[in-house]
Amino acid sequence: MVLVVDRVPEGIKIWKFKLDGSSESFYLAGEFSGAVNLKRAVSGLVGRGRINCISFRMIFGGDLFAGPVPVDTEFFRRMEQLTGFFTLHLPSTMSMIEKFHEAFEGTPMMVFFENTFFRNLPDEEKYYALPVEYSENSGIRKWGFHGIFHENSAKTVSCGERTVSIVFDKLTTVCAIRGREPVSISLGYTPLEGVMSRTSSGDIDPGIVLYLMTVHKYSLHRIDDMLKEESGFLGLTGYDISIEDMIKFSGKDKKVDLAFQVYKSQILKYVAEGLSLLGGLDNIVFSGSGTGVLNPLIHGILKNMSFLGVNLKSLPWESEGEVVLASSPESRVKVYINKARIPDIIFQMSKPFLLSKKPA
Amino acid sequence: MTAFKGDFMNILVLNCGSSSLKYKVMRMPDGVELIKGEAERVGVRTSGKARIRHEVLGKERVVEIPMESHSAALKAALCLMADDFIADPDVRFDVFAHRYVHPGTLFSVPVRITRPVLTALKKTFPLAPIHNPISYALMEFCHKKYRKIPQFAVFDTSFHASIPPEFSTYAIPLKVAKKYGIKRVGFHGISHKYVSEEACRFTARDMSSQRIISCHLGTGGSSVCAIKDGKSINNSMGFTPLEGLMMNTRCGDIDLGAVFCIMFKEKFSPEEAEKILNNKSGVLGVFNSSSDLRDAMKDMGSDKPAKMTFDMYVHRVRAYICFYAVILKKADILIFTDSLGQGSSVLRESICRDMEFIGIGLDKKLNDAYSGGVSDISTASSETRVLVVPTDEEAMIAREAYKEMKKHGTCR
Repeated sequence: MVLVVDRVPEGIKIWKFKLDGSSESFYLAGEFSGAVNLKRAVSGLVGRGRINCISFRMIFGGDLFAGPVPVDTEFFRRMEQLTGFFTLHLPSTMSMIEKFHEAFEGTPMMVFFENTFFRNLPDEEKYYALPVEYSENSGIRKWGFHGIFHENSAKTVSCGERTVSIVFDKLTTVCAIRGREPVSISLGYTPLEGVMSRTSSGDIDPGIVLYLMTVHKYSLHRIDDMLKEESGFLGLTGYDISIEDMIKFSGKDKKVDLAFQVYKSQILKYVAEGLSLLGGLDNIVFSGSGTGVLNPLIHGILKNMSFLGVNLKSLPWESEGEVVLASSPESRVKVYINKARIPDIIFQMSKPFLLSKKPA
Repeated sequence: MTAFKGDFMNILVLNCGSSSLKYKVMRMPDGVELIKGEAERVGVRTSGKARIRHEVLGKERVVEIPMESHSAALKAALCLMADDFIADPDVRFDVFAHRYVHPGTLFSVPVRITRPVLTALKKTFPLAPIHNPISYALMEFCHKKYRKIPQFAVFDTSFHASIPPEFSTYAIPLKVAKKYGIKRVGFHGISHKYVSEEACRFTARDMSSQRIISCHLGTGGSSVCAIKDGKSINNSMGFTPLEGLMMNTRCGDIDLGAVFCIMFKEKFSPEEAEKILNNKSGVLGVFNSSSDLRDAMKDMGSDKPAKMTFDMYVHRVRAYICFYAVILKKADILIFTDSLGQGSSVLRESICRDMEFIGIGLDKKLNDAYSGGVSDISTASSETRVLVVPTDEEAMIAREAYKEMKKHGTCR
């Protein structure tokens, strides 16, 4: 079996994959004081069969890794250099990996990063128009996110083509890909940049922040909290529910309608940025946990793009397979809904590493 | 005071920069420039001397005169004009028209200056802390000294009052947005409106039927505007002129999380952060040697930071052009204006490269040969007409003030 492990709020999510690809998932709540307890708990859930590999999802690896890496001394040494980054997530994920490493000594373990796909972004996309001492020289650059989804989406289409990949998940990201390489990504140095989410604002005029701080004396912490936890769909509607639940109120609530219009325009801005870099479009791929429920929103976004050769089938878009073709036969641009989930993608990406203890 | 001859009236337009004052006396409605001038190095201490370049019916003279404030500059310019009026009463002005950058949500159309209007505008100083107080000072000066002469404020933001909520709303808490009037107001509206009108005049098209993308690319600020049915529907600048494109010293779009990290790490106050984002970023921040993109362009063949500066600038303009082309479903007209938009064929060519998929085709020969005036530089097969249109904010301000005067009757 292969275990795919993800650190989630207040616990651990584990997907147990048989080598034929079938899976079941488990949730381990709470913290584990030691490796022994962890091993006991995990084995209690997945059974005592042979574990061929344990694969971890990691939100961030800086620019220290070129791709998936084994969990070994070198991995731990490099991750120490990232102390101070994403302090709400990385330390607890690292602590979990350390315990697994100790508990399942000898079992191959791999780490898959959400940002390594974007390590070679073009410089004009990577850096901000800040003084050099605060940008390039300080390591401030776009890191990107959802690399696992975007890289997988790039592989679902023909190589060499121009693709815009959009992920609907807790965050929404838009990525332009030429061939197999990303040329732009909406999410930047921090998750504040890009498209709004349930509670975060996405892009806003930086002058607003300066105005609130200099004229109305908002503190840095107050503004940071406001933009991360009180904005987005919550800020525009007052409703503290998921985007997938909120879409059911479309057409019935003006605030909800406006929120989705703003969301759509933010997504279109990044799709268009991608088009400007690609010089055209061959494919659009949607993926992430929000696809399915958000298909009507996708339909609304793409309606704007018929002049680019995008023609859609009528909703609902359903098919047995993992990848659904949403464009009609006469559409010059192919539109796909990629239903693959993160654990499935990581399982597939782990397969080459099952053949040996070291990566290929 | 000159009696109005039929529909004609002369309008003195005042357009302040942070250390300059541009002025024109324009005969309306035909838009003839009777007097024009520029006061330079106003209120700043520099190695060069403060001076006014003053031109009357084509004849220029330069006068060196210290000007410690914009009011002093206006006084000096009016003194020069007083002599001109004696020599030729037909160049005397009848109306003042001021450019005012950011009235917040107070005014969305040009307004006649009265004491209540001045009182209201005073509250808007923090919205454009460099420009608003200067323009206000001139309005107050004129209101005190020339009470009987009608005075109008024409706003940079008015043209963008038609931006719909889907593009003007930020995803911040509604109550905060409402409390402080925070929404996308857009800027350079006077210029975008002017060049769009001129572009439609040139192409003999009805503006109310055209989808237009207007790129005001200056050595100072730059912005892109989407225009549909004769109205602005989006602008790359936002609640402030900081949003959008990379500019001479302004950062444009940026990850605020990165800004917060820098402020936290360097212990910057909000004022220090404002100085960095407004005055030390953009072209200056990336290129380091100069804030003028043209200087970076001279070196980009051999200097990596220069090339990156140019590439970043072009990348962002292209991204906004494509964004507006998507929301407009292609553009009928694409306009380049202001000092960089008019002045650099290399810049226009780089911006328009490989844009045929969105209907934009630039003709390299026509583009390279551009030497002034309104010109079509697109290929015959381009779906979008690509035009260079010199901007003239003073002419637009005069047009707006003239319209207001006609609406409300004569000044007597």
